Amino acid sequence: MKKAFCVLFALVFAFLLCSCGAKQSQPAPNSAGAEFQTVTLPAGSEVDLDLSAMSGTMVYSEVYNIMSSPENYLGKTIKMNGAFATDDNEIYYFCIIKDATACCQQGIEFILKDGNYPNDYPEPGTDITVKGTFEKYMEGDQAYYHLVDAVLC
Amino acid sequence: MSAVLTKLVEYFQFPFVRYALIAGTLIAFCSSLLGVTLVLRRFSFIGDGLSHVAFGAMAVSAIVGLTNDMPLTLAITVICAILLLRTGQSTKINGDAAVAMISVGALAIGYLLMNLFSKSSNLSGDVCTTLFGSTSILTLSRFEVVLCIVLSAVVAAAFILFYNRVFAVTFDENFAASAGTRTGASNTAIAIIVAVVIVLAMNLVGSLLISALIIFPALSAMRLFKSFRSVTVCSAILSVSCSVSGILISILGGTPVGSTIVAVDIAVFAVFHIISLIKGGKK
Repeated sequence: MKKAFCVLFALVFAFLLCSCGAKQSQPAPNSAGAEFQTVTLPAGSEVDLDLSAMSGTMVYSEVYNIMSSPENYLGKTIKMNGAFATDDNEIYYFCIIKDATACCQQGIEFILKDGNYPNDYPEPGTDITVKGTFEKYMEGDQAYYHLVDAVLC
Repeated sequence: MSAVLTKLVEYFQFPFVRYALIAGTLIAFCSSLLGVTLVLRRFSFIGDGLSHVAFGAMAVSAIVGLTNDMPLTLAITVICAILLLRTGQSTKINGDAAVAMISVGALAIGYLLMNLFSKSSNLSGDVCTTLFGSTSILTLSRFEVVLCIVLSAVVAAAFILFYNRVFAVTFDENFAASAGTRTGASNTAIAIIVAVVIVLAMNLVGSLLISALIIFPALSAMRLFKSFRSVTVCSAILSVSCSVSGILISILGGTPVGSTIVAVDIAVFAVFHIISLIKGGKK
């Protein structure tokens, strides 16, 4: 009986390990060991990743993954819903999302297509839905990521 | 109903959701195996104490700047588990005082170190997610999932292989010792396994809610079953079911993962308690 249990559990754990190591179609994992992938929406869809249609927990987890493995999301069109915020100097503009416990928050920077602050941007704290292309930019030696050509939906 | 299923299928395309279900199932399974032993030996709060130690260890890992904090957290928690066991056996500081001392001490020192040395821009968020496990299980890396599978396999194997010894030590330690069982070694082994489960479970429900994951399935099973084996099997089934249900509810409803799982555990306990009352009334 004990041997049968041991064999059964060994098979289950081996299966789980194998499923964990299975190769994914796209994109390739980066050097940091990240294994997250974006979900490709049906053909004809305007966005590659629609965070505005997800639950709060899913959105927070996926934004965490975007921040952890940004290289996997370069060039993707992302749509998200959150609160508008700026930095203290009002140079950078963010769409902020909170986790389910409302104690943690993360944001993605965006730049409106042909938009000037403050005329074309909403008031800080306003709930917004923004869509743009995820791109990388450099400031000195530091890499940052933001949504470019963004539009408010 | 079909809309919910469609949403679930869509969410399952995300690897982190699949990882969360694998890790959540295994963690729930392992914690339920130990839960019965800990509840029967009146050690329910050792899990709570060690989870606070794990919190302190995670704070140290964050300050040192480790990208993966699990190995260091695991090592410190295992050492504290063994120390706790030995201190608990000394006459100078009795068991519950030792647990309380290490528990609050580690929590306070961990939070203090995070405040003094953390480079994070969202300290309160980091502390909150560690304590309540809001989304930790959904942000696991592949290495963490593999480590979780390996550690869970070790815990399950240890429990199955040493089932008779665990059973003997759980019910009558003195008799087990007189019968030739090395109870000291068994207790140390149980303490190490508890520490492993605690570190794993921190990712699922956060350090403040770990005790619930350990004790509720065992207590629910004890409402209806009486033998050690049937309680353990029922506890494992309940724990895994509640964990999977909690994760699915939280990703569909946008609720915090840890507290949702514990809420499901509480609901199941209430149902089992009512069933036991009805069955008791019929006798």
